[in-house]
Amino acid sequence: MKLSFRKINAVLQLRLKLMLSNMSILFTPIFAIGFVIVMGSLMPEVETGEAGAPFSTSGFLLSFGLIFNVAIAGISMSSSPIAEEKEKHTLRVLMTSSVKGGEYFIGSMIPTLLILITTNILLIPASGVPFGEIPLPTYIVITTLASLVSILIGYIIGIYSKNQAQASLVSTPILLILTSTPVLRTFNENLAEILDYTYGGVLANLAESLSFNNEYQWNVTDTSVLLGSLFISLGIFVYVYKKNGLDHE
Amino acid sequence: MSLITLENVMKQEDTRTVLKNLNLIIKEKSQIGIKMTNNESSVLFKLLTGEVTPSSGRIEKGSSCIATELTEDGLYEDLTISSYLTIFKKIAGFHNPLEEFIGIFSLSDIWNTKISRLSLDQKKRVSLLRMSLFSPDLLLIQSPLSNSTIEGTELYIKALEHLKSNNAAILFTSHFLEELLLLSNDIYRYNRYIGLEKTDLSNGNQLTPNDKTETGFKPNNVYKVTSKMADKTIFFSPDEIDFIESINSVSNLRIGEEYFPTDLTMNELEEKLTHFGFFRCHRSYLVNLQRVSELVSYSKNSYTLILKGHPNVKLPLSRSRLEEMKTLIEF
Repeated sequence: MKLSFRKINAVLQLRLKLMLSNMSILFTPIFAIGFVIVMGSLMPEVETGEAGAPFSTSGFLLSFGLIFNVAIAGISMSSSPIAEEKEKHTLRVLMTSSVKGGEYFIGSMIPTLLILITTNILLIPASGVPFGEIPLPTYIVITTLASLVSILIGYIIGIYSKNQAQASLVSTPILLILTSTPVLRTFNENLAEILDYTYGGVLANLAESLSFNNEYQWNVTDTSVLLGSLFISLGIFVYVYKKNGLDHE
Repeated sequence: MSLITLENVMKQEDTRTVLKNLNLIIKEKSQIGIKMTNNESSVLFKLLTGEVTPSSGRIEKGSSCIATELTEDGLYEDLTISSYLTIFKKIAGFHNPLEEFIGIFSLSDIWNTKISRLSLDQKKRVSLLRMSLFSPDLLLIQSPLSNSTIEGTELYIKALEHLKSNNAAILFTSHFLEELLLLSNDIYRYNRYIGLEKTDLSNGNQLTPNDKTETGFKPNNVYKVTSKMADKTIFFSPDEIDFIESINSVSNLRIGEEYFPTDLTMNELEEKLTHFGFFRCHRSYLVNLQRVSELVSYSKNSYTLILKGHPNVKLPLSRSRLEEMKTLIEF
């Protein structure tokens, strides 16, 4: 499939113009930052090893903010526009105007990914983790890969849904599981081990190790989990797209 | 040059036959109207664009650039016309400045207005301009003038002239013949039993008394019932008519789901159409016997005729006429 840069650019501009004319889609990333700031002012400052628990407030806030942004914003920002376009019958017009599925997905993905990356970086000062001690390239690579997984999950939901209501309904259980990852990890060690094998768990690990002033070490598990999640979601996405198309009736 | 040729095309969906016996040639610059339902029209568009393949028959395509517009198609309501069309200009790779076309499509005063604030007429013209940016050989448009105002219709027809000047062929589908009369030169009606039937059209000012007197040849077995709509006269073959109903002393031809008034009285029509298998089943009804599928007797003195494909249409049959009908169709 030969993709046209001109058309990807046109779809990208379309998405940007739609975002600017209707800012509601930016609500979730902004809310992630706001929520972390508010929670930070309400929660007591607890540091490593205090009271025998390996817990850090800033680490918890950062992992919570990351999951909130990557999972909720990532999935909703990619599933909602497709579902909305189907509901308002604008997607058919676009797809019959010689725009290929690949061009649509790439053009739509770029602004979403940029917003998610920016928010992920802004979450560092918002959560109170010292900015200077963050290995920024590692942090950006891991959070970006996780954001890509969320965007792909959102696309899968968008392809299956006929309208926005259905997209929200399908997203809810997935978001519930993903957003409860940081909390569930603190409750049960066995559960924490299982959650380490999800991309949400990898984000939580990253946030925690950074907040304890430890240098995050790339490890086989996290890398495999992230890449595995990416390839699995990409595989499902390609399968669902080939089976249903973008605007199936 | 023919852009698309359909030969005995049939399409089934979920074991249901949606279209059959489609024979049509779409030539360059032609403006064709087909009276059919939206569902039939959507399937036809998919066949023509190659989105689906026919269950049987053959489609020969000489055109690759086809633009379609369905009634339900939406525009990005949050964008202005200018932003919306600029995006599609980029997608189409159209090089000329859009400003050249603002006047042609009557969008000058609303160029920077949000699409959500536009009227239906204006949105239809925006869609038409969007399609024209792709310089299509063929446009497939579904019911563009449904719910349009008189002014909106005029401006839409004016914008169509631009597309015609670019040699684009246009195929319109609509449930209403009146709409197709305004937009097309050739009109067909889709009948699910017969397929596509061409409707004879002639402009109101084309028939002059001299034409009639100077013509020496007059065929004996040709008869068409006429109905005047707008500035055109439509000719219906007797076999296309399901029945004729007299409403307030005006004879109305019932064809499919539509009524067409005619100047002829019921008696005149009875006289002309008896030879074509029509029968005066009631003072106010003249029925095409070929279309009758059932005779139902609800009581001793009450009879009703039900027509093929119209189970809800029940025509009264006078008791006095029953015997006459029995003789006619020998049952």
